[in-house]
Amino acid sequence: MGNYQLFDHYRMMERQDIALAFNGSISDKLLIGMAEIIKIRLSDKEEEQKIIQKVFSIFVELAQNICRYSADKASRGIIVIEDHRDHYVVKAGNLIENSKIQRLTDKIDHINRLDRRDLRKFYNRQLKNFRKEGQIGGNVGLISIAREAENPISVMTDSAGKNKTFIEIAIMINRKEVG
Amino acid sequence: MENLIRKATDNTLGVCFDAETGALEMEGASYPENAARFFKPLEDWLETFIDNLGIPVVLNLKLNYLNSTSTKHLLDFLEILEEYHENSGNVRVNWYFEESEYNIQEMGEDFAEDMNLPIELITY
Repeated sequence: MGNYQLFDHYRMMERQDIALAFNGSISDKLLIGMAEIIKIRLSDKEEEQKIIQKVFSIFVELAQNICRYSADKASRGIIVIEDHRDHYVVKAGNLIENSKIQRLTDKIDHINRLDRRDLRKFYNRQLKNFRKEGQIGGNVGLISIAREAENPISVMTDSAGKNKTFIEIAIMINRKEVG
Repeated sequence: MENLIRKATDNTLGVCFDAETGALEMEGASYPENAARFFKPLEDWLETFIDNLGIPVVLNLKLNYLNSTSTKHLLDFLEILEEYHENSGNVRVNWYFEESEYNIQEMGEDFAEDMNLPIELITY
């Protein structure tokens, strides 16, 4: 045991306005529970229904993205929701094989260049190409996240050993409609 | 042919497929990690139903949330109906959505536009 104290963890979470944080392997049951917590917390502060739906669905897609792409045997990852005054941020991080990084970041760059209308088209096209791509998801989840949030997806990577990288995917959801 | 009934859970749809009348209903939210496991039996049921009975089909959908993989599987399911429709089967899809559920509405609009299938969007 090091000098780690839970109080430090608590203070950091308070400072960063973290409303929910989880680190571990995410099962269906756990996801249902966490989704419920988000809905209750946001409803309690009388958040708009539309915003609650956005945060909820982005959370679900990012959590399931971890399950699919984690290089960790137990599909572990970390997921966080920050609840700021005028926006929310959903962040998900997990280990990923180095060989998968380039493809994923290229896809995200492409998604970030599309406007709302083109994202909708791209989403529908990818939905049909799903099986052809030969991978579960076909990144449709990421496109749906960008559509919901109406903000670009940000990606950060940190080397985590010889073959693996820690990847963080984050997206902001505005609380008020952007004019 | 047996009817297919599934009670809705927190993350899977309620399903009621009536083989005798051809009335198919799906409602609720769907976001299981393994959507294929849930949707495959529904697709199999529909294919058997069309092959053996070939009577008119009315599909009533009252969805409130689908994750991306469930959306894909719903599309697969609708593609079976589309093929039936293109082979002169009698098919109608009623796509119900609550006014606040803009993403379910958009999904219905996109499917209605992209598919050769009579999909009617109805608010409730």
